Amino acid sequence: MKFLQWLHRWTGLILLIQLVLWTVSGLYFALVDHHGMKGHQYFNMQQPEALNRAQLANLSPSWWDDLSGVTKVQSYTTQGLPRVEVHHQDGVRYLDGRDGSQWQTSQDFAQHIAQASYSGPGTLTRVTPIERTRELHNWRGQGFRIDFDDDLNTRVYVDRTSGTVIDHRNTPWVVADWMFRLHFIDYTGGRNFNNLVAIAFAVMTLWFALSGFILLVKLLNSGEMRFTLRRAALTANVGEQQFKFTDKAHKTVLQVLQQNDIAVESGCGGGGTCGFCAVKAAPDTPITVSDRAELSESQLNEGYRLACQHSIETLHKVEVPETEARKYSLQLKESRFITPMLRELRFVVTEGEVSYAAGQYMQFLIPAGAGQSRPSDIPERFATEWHAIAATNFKHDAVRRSYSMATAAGGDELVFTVRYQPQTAGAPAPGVGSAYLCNLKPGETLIAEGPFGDFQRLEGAERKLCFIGGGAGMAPLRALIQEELKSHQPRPMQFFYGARNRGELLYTDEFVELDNANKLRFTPVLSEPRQACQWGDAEGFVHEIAQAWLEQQNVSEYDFYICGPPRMLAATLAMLKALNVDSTRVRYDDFGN
Amino acid sequence: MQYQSSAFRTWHRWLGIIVGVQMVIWAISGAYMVIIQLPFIHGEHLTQDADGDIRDASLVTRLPAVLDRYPQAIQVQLVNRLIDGEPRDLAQLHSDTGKFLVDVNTLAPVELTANDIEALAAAYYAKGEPNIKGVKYIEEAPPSELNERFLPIWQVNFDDFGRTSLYLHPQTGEMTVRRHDFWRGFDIMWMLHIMDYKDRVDITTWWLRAFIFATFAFLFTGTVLLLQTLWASRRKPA
Repeated sequence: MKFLQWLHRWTGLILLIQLVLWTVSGLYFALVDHHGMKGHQYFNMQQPEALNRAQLANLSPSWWDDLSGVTKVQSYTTQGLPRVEVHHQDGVRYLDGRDGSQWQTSQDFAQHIAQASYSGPGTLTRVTPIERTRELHNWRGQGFRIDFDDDLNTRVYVDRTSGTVIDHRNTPWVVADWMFRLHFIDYTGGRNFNNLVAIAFAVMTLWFALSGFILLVKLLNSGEMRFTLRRAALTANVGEQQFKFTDKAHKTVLQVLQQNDIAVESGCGGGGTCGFCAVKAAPDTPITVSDRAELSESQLNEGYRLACQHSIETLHKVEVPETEARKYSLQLKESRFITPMLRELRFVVTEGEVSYAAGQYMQFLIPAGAGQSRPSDIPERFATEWHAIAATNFKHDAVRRSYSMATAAGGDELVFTVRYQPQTAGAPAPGVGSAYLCNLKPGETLIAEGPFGDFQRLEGAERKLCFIGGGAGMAPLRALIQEELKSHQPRPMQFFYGARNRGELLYTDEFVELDNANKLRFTPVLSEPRQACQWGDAEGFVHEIAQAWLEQQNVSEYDFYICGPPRMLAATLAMLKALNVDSTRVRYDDFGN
Repeated sequence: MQYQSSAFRTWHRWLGIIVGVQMVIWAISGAYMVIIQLPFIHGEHLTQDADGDIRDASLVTRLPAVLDRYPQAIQVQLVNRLIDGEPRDLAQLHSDTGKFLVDVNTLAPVELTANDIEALAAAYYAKGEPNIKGVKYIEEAPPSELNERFLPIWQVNFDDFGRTSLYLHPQTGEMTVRRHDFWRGFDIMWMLHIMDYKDRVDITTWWLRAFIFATFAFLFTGTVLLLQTLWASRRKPA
């Protein structure tokens, strides 16, 4: 489908002008018809002249006894003059039937036969000797052009060798000739449509038409082109506002929204190819091919669909993202290692301000380019962890990578934590986005789009908050905790955070301090503590420690916020399900996808 | 930048339903006609000249006598044609009403038999061993590949690749019309191209004109979409 659209679009671009020319010339042919194009408006079929006995009696074989391979001897009369044609192996000899001499076409004779072939209102104005003309593509030789002063500018061409009228030409013929040039793509005037350019265009047009046709059939099959007079209603939530529209049921959500001046970005005008017009619907809304191509798995799971791909018959209620999500240019202010494999990146927005809710993420638009597996500034203390990672260079395409903000909104900075993704066995390169971001130098800028995501705090003044996170899943949880702490009356919070060893724990000092100040309960958990860790706290998998604790609690009092590596996330969700936690009170950020 | 969706796309799709099939037909028929060389379609490779050299040029002295017998002639030719199994010097006369062969000695008209036609067709045939399947004299109800104005005519069918049919003039035996399967295919393509499904000649039917006008609208909406999409994808970074 994508390929066909691509093919259709680019062949369309190449063929555009020729398609117009074909249509224009085709219309001309259909309007004018054969008769208007031949130049024969004033052409008069010549009346045959009778033979006379004397001219036949006069014939003598001696006139052509120097020729060999004679297949035909032909006698006739033109303008009262006896003529003889002798067809032989090398061509045709034209003879004067009176004495057998080479036929000579005098200007006078040429005028006579031209006049005889002419039925128009004009009079003969001019006789010009010619040897070639653009108006007779294949003719070369001795001849006359004989002009008449009629409304069509008729000219009659006479060939001197054979003493015959070659053809008539006039202004409509010139127009027609150009139309043939356009239609046949033969600008030599030879009207040869078997030329290479025409063949190339024809083959490409065949692709073009077929690709369009297949696309159309697919559209018809998908039911997207159903037409109905029935009406359907669409409820659209835009931020705090709610709108309700009714329109014909076959219209797309995008059409209805745009007709009602609801701002929805669209780059392709409803073609399902730009992915700008995503709106949020019920997560069980059917997913079209274009939805899948343009939206990420997590967006699809959240219920995002392309507004141009669904009619209001199937989508009754949508949430239109407020267009706060837009592109920002971010300048790197500081980038530092905070664990052996993880850096904290602090950006400033070069223009404007990103207003976001804690838990949301930005999409970095990583440009195509060359990457390197090792950063140049590995601190001495992390050298052992980097020891096994070879320095390689690799090329990569442009990609989008999502990262959650690691702080609550409020400052003039956007903070992200980026974990190196070393090359795994069988992978062509290390993580492209992480390598790019980690090698970014202070002062450099890049484009990010956002904020996106609804990993945000749930409402409920009486609720308690339980955060369970692991590894780089720290970032959105930290932002959520900061945001909660900034609120008017912070609710009780419990935070389980897992890492493999002490060196990978993020921001622990910060949370230990908060714990000491009784602002939240913080439980760090190590799954593979080393001797050097001197670890006296919880050991094991974070979801197991959390489970042991939750079993002592009334879980219905808690809202859960989970973020971490895919396996940890899956294990935690399973654990909560086993504890019969209400799934509407669980939010998670699936950054594994 | 925001584009108002979809009016052009909707129009393009609906117009596509109306003219899309015809666009495909135009593309297929156009490609056929353009790719297969026209002289081949015309069957120029199928035949060769078969008239022999004139043996006795002095026979021109008999032509006044021929004219005396057939005064309606407007043109007289001396030719050498394969009749009764041998190449014979004959007079071919053209009059307002037709053409025919005359024996220059007896001045009697020469009537061609089916055997003469078969022998002539074999001589015209240029694709190797002539494998003649049948010879048929057609006076009325011509096959669709033959214009009525050629009637009556001799049809000679060959059992070869392309199922060649040669049509010979009934009185003179001259090679008149060549047909083979590629011509027949071309004729169908031409019919589809000009949308005259009956006589395959009228290029001015109202429905052809209507389709062309619809094609203009189709092209216009497609062009707008193309420019929109190209513009959008240029802006789209990822």
